[in-house]
Amino acid sequence: MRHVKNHGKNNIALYHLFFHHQDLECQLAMSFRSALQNGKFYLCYQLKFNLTEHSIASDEALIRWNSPVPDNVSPVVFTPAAEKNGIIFELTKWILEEACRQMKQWNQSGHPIKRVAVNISAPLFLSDSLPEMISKILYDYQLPAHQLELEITETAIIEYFDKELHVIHLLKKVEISILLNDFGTGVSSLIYLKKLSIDTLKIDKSFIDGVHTSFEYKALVKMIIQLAKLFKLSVVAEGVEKKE
Amino acid sequence: MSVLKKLGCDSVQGYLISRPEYPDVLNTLYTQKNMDHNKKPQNLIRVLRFLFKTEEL
Repeated sequence: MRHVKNHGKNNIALYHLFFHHQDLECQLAMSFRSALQNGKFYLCYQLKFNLTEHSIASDEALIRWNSPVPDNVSPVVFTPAAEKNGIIFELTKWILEEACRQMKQWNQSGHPIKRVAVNISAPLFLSDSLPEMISKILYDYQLPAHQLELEITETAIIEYFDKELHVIHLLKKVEISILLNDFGTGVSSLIYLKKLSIDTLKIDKSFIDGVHTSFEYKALVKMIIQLAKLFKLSVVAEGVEKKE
Repeated sequence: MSVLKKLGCDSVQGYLISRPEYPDVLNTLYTQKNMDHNKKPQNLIRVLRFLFKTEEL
């Protein structure tokens, strides 16, 4: 009915699965603000293990939502909806604050985790206020900048390259570490490695899954790692599920 | 994981090391070694045993 109303009334529309996704996004969008106010979002942390130092390198903060529609909706679904309706700014601010609060608590208890990584979506990199917001949060929680890492996706960079370049430079000025996520899945233009002041490359899971069984995938991963070393970047492999 | 190390990878992330965990779980693992063994995430325990060279966890 909403689809017909949006397209000039006095009409009919056949149900399509796409409408279900639209409805879900509408429901989620309406629930976001109250969920944020009522503490329905929470963070989980996934460790990154340093293979050379045999220590915990850092951990990635991952948002989860105890959502009413439907139960525990995946971030893959609600993050794009949050980007569309603009609440991603408030949500990311909350994630940064919560991750920094947790990091401070770990510092105080002598926890071996020494750095926390937060995913930043593309629209935020269009905002000049991001570096200022991060600096304020770090100041509020008395955290040194090297204890925070920002993860950005390769596909996000392609879309807003020039603008993001500026924001990344601002972030580097305050010594924030930047990680390029999902490397290899987009166009993987080598010019990004030269122009962006990033510190780390994260190789996408799709490459890592094939590294044990496929010579081609192994060769690709080897090439990415060698390339990263030439640019003095460290490399994280994500989606590691096998001992071999 | 060993293949990735040979290829020169610096760090790894994934279910072999640890699933996404509540901060309380990570806190408890480091601070209270007397936690009920069955409640601990097994992947993480393996890493922690390796890190701290102990079987106590």
